[in-house]
Amino acid sequence: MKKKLTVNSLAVGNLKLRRKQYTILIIGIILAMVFSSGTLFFISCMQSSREETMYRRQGKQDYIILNAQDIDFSPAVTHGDIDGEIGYAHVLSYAISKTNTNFDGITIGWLDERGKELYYQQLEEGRFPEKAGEIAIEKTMLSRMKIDAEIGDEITLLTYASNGSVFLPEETQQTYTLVGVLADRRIYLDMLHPESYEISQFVPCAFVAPGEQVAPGGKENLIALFNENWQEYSLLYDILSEVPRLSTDYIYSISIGDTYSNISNSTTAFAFLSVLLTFASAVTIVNSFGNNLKERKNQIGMLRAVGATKRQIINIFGREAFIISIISAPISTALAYFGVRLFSVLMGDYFVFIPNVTVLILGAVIGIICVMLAALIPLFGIAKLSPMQAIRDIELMRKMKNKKIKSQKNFSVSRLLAKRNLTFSPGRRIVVSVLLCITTLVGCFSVSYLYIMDEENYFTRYDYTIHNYGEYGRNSFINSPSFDKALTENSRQECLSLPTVQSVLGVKSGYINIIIEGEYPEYLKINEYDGIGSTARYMPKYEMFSGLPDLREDNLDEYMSAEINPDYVYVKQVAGYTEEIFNSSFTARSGELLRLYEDDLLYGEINIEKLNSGEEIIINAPDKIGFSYELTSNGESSISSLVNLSSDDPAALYDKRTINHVIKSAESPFKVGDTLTLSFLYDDGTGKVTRTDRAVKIGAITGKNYYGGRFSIVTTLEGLQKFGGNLPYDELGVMIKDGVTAESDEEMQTELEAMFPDKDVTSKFAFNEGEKQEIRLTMLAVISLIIIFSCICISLINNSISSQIRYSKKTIGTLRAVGASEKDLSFGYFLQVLSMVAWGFGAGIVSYIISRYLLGFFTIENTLLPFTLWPVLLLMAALLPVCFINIKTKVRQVMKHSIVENIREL
Amino acid sequence: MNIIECKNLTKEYLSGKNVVKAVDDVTISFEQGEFCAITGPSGSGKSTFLHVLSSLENPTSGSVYYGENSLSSYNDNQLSILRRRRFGFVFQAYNLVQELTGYENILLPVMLDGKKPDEEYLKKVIDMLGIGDRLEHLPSALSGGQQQRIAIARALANRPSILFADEPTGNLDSKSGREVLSLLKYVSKQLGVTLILVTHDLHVAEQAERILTIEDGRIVKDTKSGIM
Repeated sequence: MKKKLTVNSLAVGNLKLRRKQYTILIIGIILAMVFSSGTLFFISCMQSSREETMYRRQGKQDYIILNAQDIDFSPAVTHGDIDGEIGYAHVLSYAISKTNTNFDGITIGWLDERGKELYYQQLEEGRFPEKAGEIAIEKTMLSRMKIDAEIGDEITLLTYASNGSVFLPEETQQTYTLVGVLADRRIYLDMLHPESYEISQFVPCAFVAPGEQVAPGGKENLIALFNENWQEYSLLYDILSEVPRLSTDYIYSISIGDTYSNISNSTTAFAFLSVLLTFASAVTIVNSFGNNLKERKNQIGMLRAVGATKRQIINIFGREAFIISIISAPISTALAYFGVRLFSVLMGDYFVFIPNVTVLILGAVIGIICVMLAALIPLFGIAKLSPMQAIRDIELMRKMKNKKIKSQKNFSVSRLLAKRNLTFSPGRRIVVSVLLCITTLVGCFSVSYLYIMDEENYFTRYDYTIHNYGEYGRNSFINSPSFDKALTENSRQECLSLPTVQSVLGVKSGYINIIIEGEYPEYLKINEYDGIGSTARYMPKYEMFSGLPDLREDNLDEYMSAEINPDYVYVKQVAGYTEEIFNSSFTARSGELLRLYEDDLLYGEINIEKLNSGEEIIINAPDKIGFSYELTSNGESSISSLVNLSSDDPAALYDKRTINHVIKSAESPFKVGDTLTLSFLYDDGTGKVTRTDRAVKIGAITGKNYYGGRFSIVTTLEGLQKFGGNLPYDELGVMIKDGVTAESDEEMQTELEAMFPDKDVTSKFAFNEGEKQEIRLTMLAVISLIIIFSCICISLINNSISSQIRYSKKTIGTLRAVGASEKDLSFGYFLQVLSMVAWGFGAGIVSYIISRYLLGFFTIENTLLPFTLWPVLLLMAALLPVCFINIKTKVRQVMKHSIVENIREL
Repeated sequence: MNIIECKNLTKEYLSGKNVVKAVDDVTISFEQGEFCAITGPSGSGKSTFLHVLSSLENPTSGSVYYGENSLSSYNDNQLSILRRRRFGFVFQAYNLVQELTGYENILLPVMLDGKKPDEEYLKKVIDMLGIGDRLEHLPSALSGGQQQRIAIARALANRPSILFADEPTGNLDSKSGREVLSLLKYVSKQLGVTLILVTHDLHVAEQAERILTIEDGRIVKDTKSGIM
């Protein structure tokens, strides 16, 4: 014998001899390593993406010190308080475009080498300026200044030279060649430091070539950029305390914005899935390695008989798993690396995966550790066996002896054998069932989530919406617009004047008072409960700022007999009402949008002409409403609300676990054709209230919708005009002539944002594209996840059954000898699969139903996720045929040999 | 009347690169109700001959006829049906299905055939074999002799025409071996079953009506035909 017999050579010998049987184990090991390394890489990706996002938005510097030309940082640099060198931004001038009238301009400057490194300004298009006369400007700043220029175009700016700490009033016209469009920085600085005017005023958002000089008569303003050495701080602190207006003049990275949380959520979700997949792969390893060892019990028994200790057994057979994982480490790490890279590319710019050697090595090591931990479970089990237990399989005989079995007098051989096999080896069924259960949960919840995403994918009927946030009105009874911020008719016309715009529709809303002649209807009183404290006539007896208690049977009278709402008293005085009034909200829309209400129509018809003329209105008044409160089953909290009781089954509105109490209910007194006296109060900002009363007919009544229980008035914009006043729009909806493309969308959005700088402009195209991208990615993730889990389940079941078939050659031979056909044998094994699948999916479906209800119970919205079982059906449709084919193949392989060979286990 | 016969039956194996003839051009027939012992030294091919004759293994050449039908024309399914209905097997190592009780093991061929068990007949067989009190036990709870009796009952459960026994006493002590052999002989006689038994034990072989001696795959002696 030339070769030396070592544990390694034994392990390698085993691997070579049993190549086929190791295939599944190797796949399991690679998968486990991919997923465990992937988990680490996702976490690393999350960290690097967060840092990258922060750097792109704010730069890499901890501090931005304005007016730093007179500050001597050298002691701090020498002492080591400052990490590395100090970088400088040289501010030369402030500039506005000739077309920009609101003086919202840009600061021009240049960065030295260290400054560039720290400021980390990203280029979106073109290049950075290299010679005099070139300029690169931030993207949003270009549109804010209404500069419509391409790379290479010349732009003329009106500049105001810096004079150290301020800009000189003298205006100079300067022409630059636009060589680059920069990624946004100033808007993030504004957003992160809204209190600091200096930041947005002095930090450059347009860069010229390094070394350019300030215009004659001016003086450079130096901005210092540097990182702090966190170990040292004393001298730097002293220096900074000398800087005037320190609180607003320095920055260090603090804020974690929405994008960060998106990054965290996405990567955490994927990292969690990786952990789940690692677990599933580990189960595969436990199963395949366990089967593998079980088939070699004789070998293990022989080794034990010739004196191998438990430790040596673990060492010899564990070495196999170790060798496979070492060999698999490079490919697994590479697969995990490319997987996470693909994820970061698909998720967009802000997802950055920058692995270093340490992370890669750590990923591989974690993979190997996971594999070894999984492999140790069956190894410890097998090493515990005594030599004779291993050789003669006494363990199984003992198990059988302990089982009380009653003979069947009439049975199907396949069924009985399947049942007994599962009874004597419950471990296999448990492992498979657990994995199938997890797969069911993962599959069903993932698809439920997709349904939610699909439901949420509703945006608007417009191509663009321009929204104005804010309240108009001194109190809830008087309409009072603030014109300096409002979307006015001028805004609508300005938008309409854009050549690509086809139409601009608007929505206005406010309050209108119904004058009550005679007895105050119970129906309107119930409506008032919902607006108590704001639009109702009465104030609750409780302190406003201690929070309003919910209305209940025992406090309702107390509420309604309490103090009168001071706003109501004031309004009655100012407007001169002698009657009681009911304060209703109203919505006025462009006539063509009123078809939206048709689905909710109860009585009458929507006549646009009559609405426009002010002759008619539409009211939302369900036939029956009630005021109710809900108690959770433990009676701890309650929510009171107005409910629409005209539906057939109002209880369906609520989660069944809540107890609903309708305190008061009333039928609607309103009929189509009835006349209402509406009173519109308007204050144009001068404090003088104009009252316009009009008698209008009810043209149509809506209120089918459960959630539309509250009384309100709807009319057209023209109808609203009949009451006078000049209310602003809440929202403008813009439709584009020839549809929207990716390119035109960017241009249009920029144009609208420039036109309405303080409004929220939302693009349906961008929103839908974003949604589509998110849905595509989620679907990709969900489908991949289901496929991976399905593959793991299929391989686990097949491996388990294949191992059993190989292990049961003698039984197969015996059964063949007494007349069992291939069909009888295959069916027996297939029944085992069916049983495991039924248990696994059964447990999975039950867990899914329970956890779905629990999730619904513990979420604030009390909503249940959509119920779906098709992933289970799909998995069954894939799993059963594959398992059946595998069983057929394996049984045929055994049956290729003669019965005698089977019996002798040859 | 011949129940089973073989003509020019040959079975070859590959042993490394060499071809070994375990059964070499054997032609012989067996009559209904006959008790025949096949004997010979170790490695003479007696067990292989029994396996090929009983369709447990396919011959390399030659044919086996059950009645007038050549088994080589049977497909796997037909052979399975033949084994479960017409043949019974008793192996040296009992070969009971470990997951089934004694009674379930006995019922195996009947259940595989989809028939209702003939309880009266089964009771008779069980009584003859004296295993009525061991039926509810799993094989792991039975002694070797008891397991072999269960195996004999299983082999007889479907009223087979031929009972093939391959060293049925080989794993038993001499007392149990004698008992099992007496039972085999008695039961097959009572039920009119042809018993073809392989043994290397001359005392066992001597109890047979006919003794075949095999050496190097060939029948060198047949007490019936007087071949030497």
